[in-house]
Amino acid sequence: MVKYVVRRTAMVLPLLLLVSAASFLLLYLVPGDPATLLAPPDATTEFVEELRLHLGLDDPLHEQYLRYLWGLIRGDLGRSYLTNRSVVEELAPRFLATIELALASLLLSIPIGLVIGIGAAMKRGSLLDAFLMLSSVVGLSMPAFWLGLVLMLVFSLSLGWLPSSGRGDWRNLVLPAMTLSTWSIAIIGRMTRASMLEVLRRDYIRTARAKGLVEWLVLYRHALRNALLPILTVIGLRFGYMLSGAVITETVFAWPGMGRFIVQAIQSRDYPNIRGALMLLAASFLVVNLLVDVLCAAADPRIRSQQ
Amino acid sequence: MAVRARGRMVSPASDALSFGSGVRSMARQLTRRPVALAAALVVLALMLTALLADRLAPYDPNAQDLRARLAGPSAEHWLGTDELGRDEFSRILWGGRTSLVIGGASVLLATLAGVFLGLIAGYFGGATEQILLLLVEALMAFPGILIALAIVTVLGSGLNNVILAVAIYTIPTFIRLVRASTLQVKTEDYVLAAQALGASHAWIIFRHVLPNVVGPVIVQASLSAGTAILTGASLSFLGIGLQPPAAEWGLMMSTARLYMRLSPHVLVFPGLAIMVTVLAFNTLGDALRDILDPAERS
Repeated sequence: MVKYVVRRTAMVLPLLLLVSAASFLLLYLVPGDPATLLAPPDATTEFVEELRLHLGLDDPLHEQYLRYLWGLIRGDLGRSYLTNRSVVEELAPRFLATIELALASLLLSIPIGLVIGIGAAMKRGSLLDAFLMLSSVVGLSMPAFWLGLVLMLVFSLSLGWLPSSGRGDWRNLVLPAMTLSTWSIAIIGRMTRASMLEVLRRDYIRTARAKGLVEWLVLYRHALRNALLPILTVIGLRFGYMLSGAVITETVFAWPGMGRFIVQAIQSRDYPNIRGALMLLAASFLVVNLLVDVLCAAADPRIRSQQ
Repeated sequence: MAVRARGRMVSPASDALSFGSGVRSMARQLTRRPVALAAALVVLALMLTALLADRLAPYDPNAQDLRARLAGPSAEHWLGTDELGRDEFSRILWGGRTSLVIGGASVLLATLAGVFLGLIAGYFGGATEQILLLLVEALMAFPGILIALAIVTVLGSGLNNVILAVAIYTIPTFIRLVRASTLQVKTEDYVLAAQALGASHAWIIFRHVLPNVVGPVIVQASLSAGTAILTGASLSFLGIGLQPPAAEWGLMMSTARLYMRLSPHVLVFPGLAIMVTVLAFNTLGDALRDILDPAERS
């Protein structure tokens, strides 16, 4: 087990290095001079020159990258071009807001997704199954921004039950969490159904039923436990994406999280902020995946021994 | 490592069908499933309306009529008008053309590149495979929309760059899929026989391996088209995809935000258009996958 964890963790580092290099190079290639963009509109040429020198923008690419990497290792992501605050300081509250939203969505989507998937698998081929699976495809096909706006229109603008945007108490969380969890509910539901069907046709299920075990125990003790691994993987994956992929939902509801942060950073060409956000997102995604893999390996010895 | 997917993903084919009979039997089985057939017909109808948008649209999508701003649906304007008095129905028809072009072109690009790289990685293995897989992993560490966002930032907005951006983030899915299928096919007897007979690598890849990985690729292409259309619309919604006054569904909804309270129709109709389109591609993809996967069929 320890060997597996070490081996699996070792795979994360080269990926992070690659991501840091790729995000650095990508932003280096963006047309336009950050110094000109940063300087006030009426700045003199000398001012812009000095600024460029100060930011180290004239240094060769590899020097700039190595300087960046050295900072990264020490947990220093540089300073925002726009606000001159440290990127870490800028990121921290945004990341917390995103985690809050992601956890709320996960809390909503796991039980609903499991119930949908188990129900559909139990009644395979029935009208209920057809209805649940159709609903989940509809869920997958729904643009998040549309769903978000429709929810906002109905529950906030028309009925006035919930606030339409911003972050605050739990009421602010309801609509964005609903929007964000639609996809996850559909995905978890479909994966649960597929995984349960796979398990339900096994011999040990027939044995369990033949020995007279009540159906819910067959389901819980024999089927669900064995069907859990792929479901767990999908949930972990969704969580990883929610941490970084809530761009649309956050934009619709003006949720001050990572997604909106990165869109704003891109629009204002705040390179240190963009790089910092990309690194944090990649790192959190990779760590979540690592945790899921380790959990799966802990649950199933067959995975540990795999190369 | 656990199974990881971008958007929706297909598992590689376990049964080897020859290309012609595989596609034909896929088509034949499609006609036997009412839902799948309906989805296929909707996709076909969408393609036709996109193709004929200029003839079918009752109005010029950019013709403004300031006296008829934000009018609700009527006999004159079937789906009403937007904030500049432009006909919603005509704009949705033209927007369909844009969306299908984004979905079609980006998935085609991604398929070609992904199949090529996947075949190479799976067939030859070695360092090439390791490097490709590392790149795939790195790309998959970000959600597609973020990658597309970053690429459009570098390249600038506009239709071609949106297509390219969506294509680039879709490629890894195809590389993984084709590589996995190739690894399976590579050990089949007929490939070993061809190798023993001294066939060239190129011949084996195109004559024996490629036809056997086509099935899952078609399924994935259908699923990816749905995701690609969603991403394209999302980019425009965020303001970095297509720019006004383009008739594009995501863009239409972005402006609709300001007017949706008093004129919900400007929000509802473009959203329905996207949903129906993506739903059709997803349902078609699901049906094709069920047909391909014998375990599901039983």
